[in-house]
Amino acid sequence: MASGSPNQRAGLQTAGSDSRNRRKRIIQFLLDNGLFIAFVLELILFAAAAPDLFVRARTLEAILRLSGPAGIVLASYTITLISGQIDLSTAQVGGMASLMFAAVFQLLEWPLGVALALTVLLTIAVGLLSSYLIKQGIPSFVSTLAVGVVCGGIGFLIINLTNQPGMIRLVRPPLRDIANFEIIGVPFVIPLMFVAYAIGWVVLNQTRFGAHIYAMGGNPAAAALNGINAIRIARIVLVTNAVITGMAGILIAGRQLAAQPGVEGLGQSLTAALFAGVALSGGSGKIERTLIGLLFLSTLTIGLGILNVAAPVRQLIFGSAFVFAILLDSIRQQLESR
Amino acid sequence: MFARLTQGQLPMARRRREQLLFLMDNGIYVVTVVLFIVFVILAPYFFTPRNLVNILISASLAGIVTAGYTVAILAGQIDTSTQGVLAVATVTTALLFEEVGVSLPLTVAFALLAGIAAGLFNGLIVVNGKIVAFVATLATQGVMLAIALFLSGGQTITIAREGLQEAVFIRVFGIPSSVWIMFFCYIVGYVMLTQTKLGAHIYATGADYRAALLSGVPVDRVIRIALVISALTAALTAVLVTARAKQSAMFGLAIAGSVDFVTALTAVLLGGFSLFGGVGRIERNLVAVLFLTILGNGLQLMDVPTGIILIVRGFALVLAVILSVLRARMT
Repeated sequence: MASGSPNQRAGLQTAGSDSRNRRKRIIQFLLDNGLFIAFVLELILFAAAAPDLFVRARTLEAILRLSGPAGIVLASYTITLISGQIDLSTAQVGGMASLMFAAVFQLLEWPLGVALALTVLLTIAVGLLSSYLIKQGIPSFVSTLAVGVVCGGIGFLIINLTNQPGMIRLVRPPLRDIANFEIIGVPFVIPLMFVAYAIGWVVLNQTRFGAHIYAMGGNPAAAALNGINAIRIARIVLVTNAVITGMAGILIAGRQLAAQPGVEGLGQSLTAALFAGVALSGGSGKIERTLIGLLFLSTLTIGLGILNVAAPVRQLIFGSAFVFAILLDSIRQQLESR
Repeated sequence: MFARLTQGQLPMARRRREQLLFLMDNGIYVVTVVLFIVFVILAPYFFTPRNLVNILISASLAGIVTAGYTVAILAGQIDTSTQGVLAVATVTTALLFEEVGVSLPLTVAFALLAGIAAGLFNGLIVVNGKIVAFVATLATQGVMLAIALFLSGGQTITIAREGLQEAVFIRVFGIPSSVWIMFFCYIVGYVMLTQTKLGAHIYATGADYRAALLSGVPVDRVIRIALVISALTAALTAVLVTARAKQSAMFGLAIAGSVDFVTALTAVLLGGFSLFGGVGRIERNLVAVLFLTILGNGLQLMDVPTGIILIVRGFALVLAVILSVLRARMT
């Protein structure tokens, strides 16, 4: 919604304030695209501050590499949020999946395909459990939190049962090569992230399922009256999210050469999505925006690292960026509903 | 997403319904007592004075923070910034007492003031920014962690100066003062919620924001107060945790063991609260905290692996929610 509804526009025009109308539209446009503008400004600022260190291919690769696995999860996480479900189990599901995979692949030395298949099955079961609880009338906020605690427990249990010291080292050859696999000199995680976003964009904007997701998140009661099967959508969305999270967990573990319960980078999906203006209550938000939001945050991390900014300042910049982003988003919504 | 909870009515005879409701409401007392007896029989060293005091101390730390958290929940505000407030207050306590050498009462006063400031900051973003508390406090938590990092320089501050631990854990009638503080918090909370106008306003705001607003409840002020109370109890907990550990326990780990989001939430739900505000009794919450502490402690003494303890806790949360959903359907 770049400029208010036709009615609103007509109303303003009859009021005879054409210039005010235009100004309002400019403000609206700026607020709508604030994230893109902020991202461009950020790039310019860093480029000006450290021209020789920031403007080069290696920095770009570092930013994209950092975004990679988290971005793949964020793509499906955005869809989950838009459908009105919130998933608080991401970090634990990713950790559990990587531990499961590591136990089967590294310790039992079973073939890669079998280990992957078992992990996928496990994550499907997790998604089904979450959606089953939602079917029983428990809001996703709580059901996924509980499932997350259980998954964290299973992760610890795997470590206990295999007698490992807090993590499982992952050094068996094929996986290492896969995690660091490159296509024309680019780590394959990077194109994979863009593919995930492309698929997410098509699903949300070009398919009936996507329309259902928006409808579901926007007004569940109306959607249900129109014959949309809420539970089915919740199930598909949560299972997909769990499986993708599990795969990303394995990718991260493969890169770090160790699987641990709880993957730090994955827990940030919620923050990144909210940062990019996806509504917590569902029904609104654009998937391309979360990609920009993620790139913005990754660039901030890498850029501040290059400038050698102290940890407290870095944390403060992140914290206030988040506060600022949600405030802007709140203003945007108030203007829109006016 | 919050409205989906209360759909459908169970057809049930009224009398049986009331009995069931009574059982659900008071089930937590029964379950806690049963659990206690089970551990007395099964877990070695469980029923020793030392362990019982340990349980009480752990429960008091989790209990105090949950008390304030509950008030916020009752007002319909989910406060996710608890870790941030804890971090700021623990660093404040350690810095003032150890590095600056301020006297004990002043240290505690400043730590609590830091908590109040954090709560006011939350209120500012939630009320003036018109942002859902869950999102707003998630964001402010980042800023609070940054402030704590600034103050501490990222270091854990060890407290060598005598007096803090001794004063805070002084035993009155054989029970550490932190336990008395917890009881005090719950009594104040109980009186405030059931006997004062503010309490009624908190319930009203949580139950239906618009209706409360239209009937003249100063909803914005109520939300601000609820968030300040939540932050204040978090700061109080931070003082106790710091005193117990004799160091600033900043980066989650030391605190997360006893006081975390999941425990608080489980306790809130086990206490029969609705997550969406307006329903619940604070005294049940206290029992729920005891239940969770006993569960963790007993399982640990029985040498159950961490993984299983976590899984049990997860299922306790699920059970708590199922109960709260059933209850919401029946009323």
